[in-house]
Amino acid sequence: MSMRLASSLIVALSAYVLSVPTAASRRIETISWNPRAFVHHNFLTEAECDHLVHIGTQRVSRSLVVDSATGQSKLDDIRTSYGAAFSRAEDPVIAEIEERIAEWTHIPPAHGEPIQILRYENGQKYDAHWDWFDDPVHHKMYLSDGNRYATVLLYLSEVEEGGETNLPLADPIDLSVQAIENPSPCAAKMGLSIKPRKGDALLFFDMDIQGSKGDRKALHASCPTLKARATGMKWTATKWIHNKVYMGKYDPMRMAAKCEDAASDCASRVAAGECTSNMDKMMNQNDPRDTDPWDRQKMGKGNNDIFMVAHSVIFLAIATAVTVADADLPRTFPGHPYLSCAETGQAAMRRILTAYSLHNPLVGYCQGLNFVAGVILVAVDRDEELTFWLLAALIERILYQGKDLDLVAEKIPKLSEHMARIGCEISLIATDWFLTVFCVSLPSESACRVLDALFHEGAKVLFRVALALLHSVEPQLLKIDNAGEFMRWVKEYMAGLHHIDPLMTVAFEGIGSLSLSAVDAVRKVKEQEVRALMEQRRQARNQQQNRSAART
Amino acid sequence: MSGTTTSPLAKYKLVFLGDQSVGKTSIITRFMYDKFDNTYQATIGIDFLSKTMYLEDRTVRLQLWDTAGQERFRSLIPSYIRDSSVAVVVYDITNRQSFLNTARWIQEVRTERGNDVIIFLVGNKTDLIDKRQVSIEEGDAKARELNVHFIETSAKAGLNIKALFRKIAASLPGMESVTQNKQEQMEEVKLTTSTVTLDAKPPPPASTCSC
Repeated sequence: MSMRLASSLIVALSAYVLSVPTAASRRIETISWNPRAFVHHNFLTEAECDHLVHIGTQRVSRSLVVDSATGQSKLDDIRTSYGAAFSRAEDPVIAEIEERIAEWTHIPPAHGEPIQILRYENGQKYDAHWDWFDDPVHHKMYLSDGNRYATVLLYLSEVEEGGETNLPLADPIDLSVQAIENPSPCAAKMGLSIKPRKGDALLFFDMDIQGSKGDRKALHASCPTLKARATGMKWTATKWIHNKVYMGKYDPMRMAAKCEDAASDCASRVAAGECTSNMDKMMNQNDPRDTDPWDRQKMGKGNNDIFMVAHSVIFLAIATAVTVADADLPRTFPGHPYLSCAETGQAAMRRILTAYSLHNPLVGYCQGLNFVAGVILVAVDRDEELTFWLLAALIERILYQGKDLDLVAEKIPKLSEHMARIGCEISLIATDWFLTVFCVSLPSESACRVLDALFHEGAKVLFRVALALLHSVEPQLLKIDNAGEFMRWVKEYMAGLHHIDPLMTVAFEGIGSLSLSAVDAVRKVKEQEVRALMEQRRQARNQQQNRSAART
Repeated sequence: MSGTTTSPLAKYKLVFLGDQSVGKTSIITRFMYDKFDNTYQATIGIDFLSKTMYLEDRTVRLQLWDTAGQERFRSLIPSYIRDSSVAVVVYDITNRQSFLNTARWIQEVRTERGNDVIIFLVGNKTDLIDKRQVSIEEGDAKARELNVHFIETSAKAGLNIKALFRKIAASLPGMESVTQNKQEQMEEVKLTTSTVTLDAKPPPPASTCSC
């Protein structure tokens, strides 16, 4: 029984930090607005990383750079890694990754160059450079492919020392958070550095938001790899995304690695400069427009401007998020004069929640966020931007750590036993505590007190308050012998809790020590149990469907 | 907890399911306090209310479990369905999607309880006649297909709410002989006949989702 107790709570909470609530949680961290840069933790699974490395291993050759004077690919000592290219959607794993990248960036897969995989051995690096082109050749020759608008860097292996991605001109959002441990000299020098962690992905935009000119702040480098783990090599993969549908004309890797001479006069034609003047014929390329589902036809012929497309994608995302959130807006503190007003409070909430769901599509909009946003919005004098950032900080920095109330058994054993006896799962009383960080459970002045402590001291405040609550009313609760009544009693008691200071004293002085890492360990085990349970149920459901299908 | 007990105050667990903002809380509130408010707070997680119902020859205590409708809370739901006698699956007649999703909710209940549960399909918000997207015939057909009870209600206007709970009471285990013979007085929903479908499309086939 008690196993289920905690597990259903975990599931509820993981709804919040969707969708994999382990230490390997997928989450997006905004690291800089200049350039616009984001780290998506655990973007790829272990298996996906290994798959890319496996194919890459069989294909790599020395990486080239593009000469900014001629536009030609060449060898250069600024880039000492080895690389290989995958075709777009080359296999199902790669196609899935490309779709996921499109979803994250809000830019369709057709804008992406083929993924390139890179291998850095110890000592190898790629000095600081921009990914967008401003050389005359590219501008003239490849205008129809646009320019590189965004870069997604996938980290495929662990690196013990060095190998950081350094953005020397970036303005970090919060250096205290983003500073990495033991940076290599290259990474410590300037700006912001990202430590490669297997499965993580870095996204930064190479151009301004309109895609009209390069963002000089997007300068970046791959620091020398000093000590790569296990394989002795650092593996990354890169997806460059253009500001227009990418037609694949410019594909240096294909030229370098995959091109085979099929005609007898190839050598003379290359010598005659046809690689530049007549590349399509020379490369005999299949026009990706023929097969690409996101092709120009779909987007309206002749109108392949990325921003038409990207914006329609974004608007779709907004529309979805807004529809879901909209149903809740009138139901967020309906008695509050400001928050219940459609033109002011609700409109502000819609903007905040929509912005957040775009900022962090993994969480999107989750019921409960509306209450948290509402309390914060009122508390900060209706400052929408501040509310957005506080919400983001709360979800991304404070709440994603471990959550489990199985601690009740440890800290208040008698009550825990009693609850088990009457079938009162902890999720029954605590779901709204955690999902709305008490915003819907306590009177707002008390909820704000908890929020203050939460922002200052972190996630464990939630556990302390929860345990203090149960502890302080234990005698009353022991008398209630029905799970539903138990829950009602707690709800009503909390709704009337206008003076929370005595409780906060208990929370910080009467609970004893609380270790989040211990909680985390328990939680991991529980999470697997939940998954097994869900899988079991899914199978049962399928069987049932098959049976009913067989009947009809 | 078993429904067949002869105790004068037999307790029955009713769980309310359905998409977000179809009116689960409103139906319960109308039944409990005979009132309606345009602006309920969204339910987070779960809520509980209980009410004693006095029937002809006995008294029962109904324990009403109200749930949150958003998709991602679904993983929470099974533990509430687990020992319920009745599942009330609500949809909003002005929201076709919420109607389509009832198949999944019902599936959810069947997975957990098999045939040891009485299921009611409830089309709520019949007061919004201009916005109707699901006809009463469609609702009825689906209920027959899935072998569940069916009724349309308006928590706002107070239509059929009492009838719903009387039907529920009559169908409780061990109650078959008591009230079933007396035809329930259904409140006539005249509004519906002239405005059957806004959306003239035939109902899509029952969900074949395997998720």
